[in-house]
Amino acid sequence: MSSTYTQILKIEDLVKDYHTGVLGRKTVRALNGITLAVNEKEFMALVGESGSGKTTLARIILRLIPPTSGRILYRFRENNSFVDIVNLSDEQLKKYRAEVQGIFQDPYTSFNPFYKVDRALKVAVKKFLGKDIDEDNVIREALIAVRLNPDEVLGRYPHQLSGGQLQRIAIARALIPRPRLLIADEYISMVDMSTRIDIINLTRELVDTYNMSIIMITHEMNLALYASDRTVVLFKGAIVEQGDTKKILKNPLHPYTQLLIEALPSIGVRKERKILEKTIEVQRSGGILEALKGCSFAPRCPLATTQCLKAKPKIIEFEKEHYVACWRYI
Amino acid sequence: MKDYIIRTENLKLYYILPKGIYVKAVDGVNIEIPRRGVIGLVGESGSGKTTLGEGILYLIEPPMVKVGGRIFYKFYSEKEIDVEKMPLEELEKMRGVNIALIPQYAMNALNPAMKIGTFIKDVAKYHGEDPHKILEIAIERFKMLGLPEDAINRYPHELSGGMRQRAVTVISTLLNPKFVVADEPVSNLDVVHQQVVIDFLTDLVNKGIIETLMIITHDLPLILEKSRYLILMYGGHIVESGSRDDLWSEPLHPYTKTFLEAIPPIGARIEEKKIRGIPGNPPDLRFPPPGCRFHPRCPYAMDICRREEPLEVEIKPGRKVKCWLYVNIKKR
Repeated sequence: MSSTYTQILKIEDLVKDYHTGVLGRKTVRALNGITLAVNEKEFMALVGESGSGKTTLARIILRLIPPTSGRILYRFRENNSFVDIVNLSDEQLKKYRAEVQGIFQDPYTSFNPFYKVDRALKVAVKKFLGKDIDEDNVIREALIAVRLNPDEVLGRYPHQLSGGQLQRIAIARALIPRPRLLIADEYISMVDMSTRIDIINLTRELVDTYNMSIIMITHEMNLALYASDRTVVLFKGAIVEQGDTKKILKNPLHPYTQLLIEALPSIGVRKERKILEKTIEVQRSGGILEALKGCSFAPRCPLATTQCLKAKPKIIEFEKEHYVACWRYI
Repeated sequence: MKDYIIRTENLKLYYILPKGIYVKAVDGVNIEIPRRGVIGLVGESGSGKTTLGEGILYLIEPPMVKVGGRIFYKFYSEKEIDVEKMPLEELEKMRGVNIALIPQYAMNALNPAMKIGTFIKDVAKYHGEDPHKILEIAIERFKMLGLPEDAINRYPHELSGGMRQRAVTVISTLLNPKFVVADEPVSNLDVVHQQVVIDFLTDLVNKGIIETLMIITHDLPLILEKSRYLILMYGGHIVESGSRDDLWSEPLHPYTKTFLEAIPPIGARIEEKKIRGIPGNPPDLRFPPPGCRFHPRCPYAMDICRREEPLEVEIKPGRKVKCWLYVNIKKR
């Protein structure tokens, strides 16, 4: 959106439909026209609750599933032009797999329980760096980068390590090919509360020192606001607000963003919870109509007007580096 | 504590693994659950909180075994009853009426082959209640939780996960049990429904329909506002308990202190003030460390902490901490 930064990934009007029901006759639209760009060395937080399409978006970027329509353009490290990731040559795909890495939610299923964790790291070294490299050295370096003591974790099986340790190993594994973009899908939700914040701190450090961008996908608004450069708020497959995290924190525009911030537990301080209270009322009154044409949040929105149910609001630039899709600002 | 509803004495609940290994999930717990209001049982995953919640309701089934200790109920009279001295039928009859559990992963707790309404009528019949009257109450409470009225005519698979979770919350509390244990009651819900469910449950407490509600959660901030008493678990032990205000304004146990410091307040930014977690990892309850189970991560650990399990110190009535820092050295 802004040209002052170097963009590395451009998502254009992305749509994803899933077919369910008997013979796949029912269509569920998981992503409904997402347009977004990721900058170089950016910590982006993609915030959304279950059903927002955040995991679908991660999977499409990682090329695990194809989009229904729309494009994802990526700029390789040693190239100046964007390439559509659906049309990559074999050579390019190999490079893409090295430069764009994923970390997933459940560390106990991302590691093979029958092998020591070393194997996952060794496979990554062989696959991305070739055979002529000092394998042990690379692995140790990667583990130290994620603040693990290699001697404590190497030679162990996944069940012998904590969720936090395993997620750090998953990050170490992802760092081995020196990625340009890390997609972390709810990677801290299964980590203990007392160690979660340290993984966020570590992620921030890695973004700053490794010359890499991250899309952190999370449902936890407070963690997004704590560490990210940019926050993107998703609701039912659409971006409702996005921009500089500090600006969103100071002045959340979309009622849904306001709701997420209001719902954050306020320890010790009594907070205004206008939007949350009203939304609860909307829920209780049961007036839940599906807005097929209008704003995806309208059926729940306490501030919705008839216009909101009729037509989808366009995303507009409210201020520099701060965008919102809501009829109240148009 | 004078008025408690459930009390345990040195309760030990282990899980048996192959090769004779035990997971010491609850290891010598003395708990007094105060009567009335919302009580929070807080701990991280693997701290033993779910096991303790099931244990005090005497839902003890293999691989969970009770290897020691006693559980006392004090529902009606001043006199407490040892649960294990109660006839089993009597205990069974108490379920749903006096004591109830809203299980973790409640969304999977329904019978998939039964319509929600049929299930509710079954529950009513089992307890000798009028099915139609109970069904009416259910519909009323469904509405309070934003569930459609016709949810009772649907099968579980026709409802979303969040809707099932709310339905189970209603069904578990239909017979107005005195004491309810809600195990992570909102963990699968979006923020609006989290608030709706918490409000619904605390509303039942405020109206006196539920006398005492114990919410088990890893998310302390979530329940902080609503609860009046907090119990903190770490590594199979209760490390600290006390009134919410005491515990919040002056946490005593180093675990509680560091745990509270690891939660970023709203608006905190990493470049302004870095929030630190607790170094190290929670203990493996198959092989817990000797002494205090928090000592490998504790910034105040002393020699004795590495050798001996700390004594529980009662700072004042209802306020306890299990930490050597608070044990008067001379007394020992």
